Amino acid sequence: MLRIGILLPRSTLFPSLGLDILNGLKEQLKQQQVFDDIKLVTDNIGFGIEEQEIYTKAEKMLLQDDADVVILCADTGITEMLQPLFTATNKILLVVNFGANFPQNWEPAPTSIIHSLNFCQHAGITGKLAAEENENKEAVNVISYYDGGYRQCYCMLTAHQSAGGVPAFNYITSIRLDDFTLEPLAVFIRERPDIKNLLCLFSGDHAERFYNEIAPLQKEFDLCLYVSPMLLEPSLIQSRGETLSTGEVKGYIPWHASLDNEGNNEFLKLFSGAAGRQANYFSVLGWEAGSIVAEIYRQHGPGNSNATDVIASLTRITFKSPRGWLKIDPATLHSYGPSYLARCRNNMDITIESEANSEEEWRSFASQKTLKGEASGWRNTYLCI
Amino acid sequence: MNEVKALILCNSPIAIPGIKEFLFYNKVAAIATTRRNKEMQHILGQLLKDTGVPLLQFDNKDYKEQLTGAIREYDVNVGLLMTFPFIITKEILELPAKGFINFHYGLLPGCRGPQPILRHLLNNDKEAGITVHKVDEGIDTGPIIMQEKITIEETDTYGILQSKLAFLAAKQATNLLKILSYGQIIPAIPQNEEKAVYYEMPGATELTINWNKMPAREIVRMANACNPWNKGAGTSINDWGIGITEAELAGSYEGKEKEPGTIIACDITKGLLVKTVDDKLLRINIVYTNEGYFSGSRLASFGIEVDMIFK
Repeated sequence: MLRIGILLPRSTLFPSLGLDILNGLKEQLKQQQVFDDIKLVTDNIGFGIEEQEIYTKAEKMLLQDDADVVILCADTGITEMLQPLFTATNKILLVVNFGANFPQNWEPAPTSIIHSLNFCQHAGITGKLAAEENENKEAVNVISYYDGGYRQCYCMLTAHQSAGGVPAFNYITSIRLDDFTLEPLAVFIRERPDIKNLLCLFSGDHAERFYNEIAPLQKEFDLCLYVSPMLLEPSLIQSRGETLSTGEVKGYIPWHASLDNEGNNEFLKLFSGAAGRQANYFSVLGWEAGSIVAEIYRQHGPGNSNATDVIASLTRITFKSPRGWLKIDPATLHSYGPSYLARCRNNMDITIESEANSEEEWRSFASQKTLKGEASGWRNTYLCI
Repeated sequence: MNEVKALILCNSPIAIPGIKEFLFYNKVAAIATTRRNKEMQHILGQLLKDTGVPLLQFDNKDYKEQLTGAIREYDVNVGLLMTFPFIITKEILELPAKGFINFHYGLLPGCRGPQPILRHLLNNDKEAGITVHKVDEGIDTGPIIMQEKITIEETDTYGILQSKLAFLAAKQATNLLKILSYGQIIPAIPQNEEKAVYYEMPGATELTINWNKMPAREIVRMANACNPWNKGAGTSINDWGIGITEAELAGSYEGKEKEPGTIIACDITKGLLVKTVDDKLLRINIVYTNEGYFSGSRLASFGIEVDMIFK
């Protein structure tokens, strides 16, 4: 029996976030026929920002509940403090998040895996695309106050500029939805109608509001929106897509329901059938975490209780995933998968156009040196407010 | 939250960023340095101004009594060593409830001893780092709480690497503070004794260039290792002792057979170029002499010329 502790955050924006991750995990464990051999203990960690709460709950799971693995949904800045605890107790920490941040130092902890949807990487490739495919290198950056506090924003903007892009105007929207306006942006666009490309980072209710307010401008000035993964989030697009945009929207994303691969077909059938819910980014994340846990279970036999060895063995596997494939990078112990270029032309009807050179993009992304100078940012788990 | 009342023992400015973290969170009961280190007394005096945290000075002779007294007087429950030169005895180790914890500015267990930063550079290691470990009766032998590595860049001098590690230690200090504040235990794993190496302070020979054995890259590394604290890696020419403070690779040597250490050029256009044992050219940019710091080519004004040989 493998004992798994699960620490999940809550989200006002996406109330089902924790449940979707958990359902994805459970359905995958059932699919792999190991569910009955695994004991799950769950607990809540608020918005993933209370360090003391996270530390004491993780410690309790290790020392009192005797967990072999703790799955923690939190951003990397929060999880560093836990690594000595897991290394010393020879237990596995499986950090699960959206990859909206990347660590200050890629040096891996021997018994910790960071499993994410790699939003930073996708945002970076999108920024690069905006510079590379347009003759006019100038672009407008339009970002929500909240999304700007995560390193995916840094990734998109720096990748754009590294590829020759030039920021012509930066516009950060207000933190309160009631104060949301794109008017200053509209003024600039009317003054500079030659600028057609916008780099956009929004999520949650601000994403919907952004689409609503950018739509008339987009139509009038024929704007192309290069967007972060959450602006192509399935539930947003599926429920209200027709009202959002009639122009060109594109961006790299980790997954889409229309991907035709064995892993995705299996996932869509089993997750939607069992949970009775539409698949989304969160359930993909949980489903993949289930694949990793199932493999840990197989490796973690009586003869191999060394967490470092178990994790090393995971880096030699290519996991079947709704994304197509998933690997754990032995150099960083971060998971990564393909980046797909999603493009919408008419009423947000998404088509997957191509896959980036994902391996090369990952190596390039994960070999970034530590950020220079001071860097601030939000500490709560992305999307958990 | 657990109460943390730390006594920080330090003797080098490298400790300052880490100390600032503990001060920021108001977890310092007192700070002590050695009585002979006037520089640290001045720096700490400025840092602790208006904080209410006492600054103590310990003597080589009486430090055990002073340390014992301070732990009791300030109700200390953890001792933090950040470059403290005196040995903590078993009796004192047991006084604070959470024991003593050392910030070692090198990677354990492979780099034990008093000058780990210098040793990582002299050993041509690819990585340096910080190891935070519990203190036991040995020197740098206690169980490791956490360790973080950084890559040593080719351009890293001792001073640059020291600064990087000082700020890395600040990050580790923050994480340690969380462990001490939130945890029921202080997690740590024993060091692998099979991989343990203890290094004494390097002597003059280890800081002197051996032109007949050392390839160009190693000479550059030694110059970096000695910059700035030793003014440069030692060498001599015409019985004139100098330090090579900064040098860089300048391609391959393809001329006639010459001894390693032979000067190939010494002028303002080409700079000071020296042939090395691996048939590379070393450009010596900055040298230290008793007369001052100079650009390499300035040695020409002291009568140094082509075909003279560094020994």
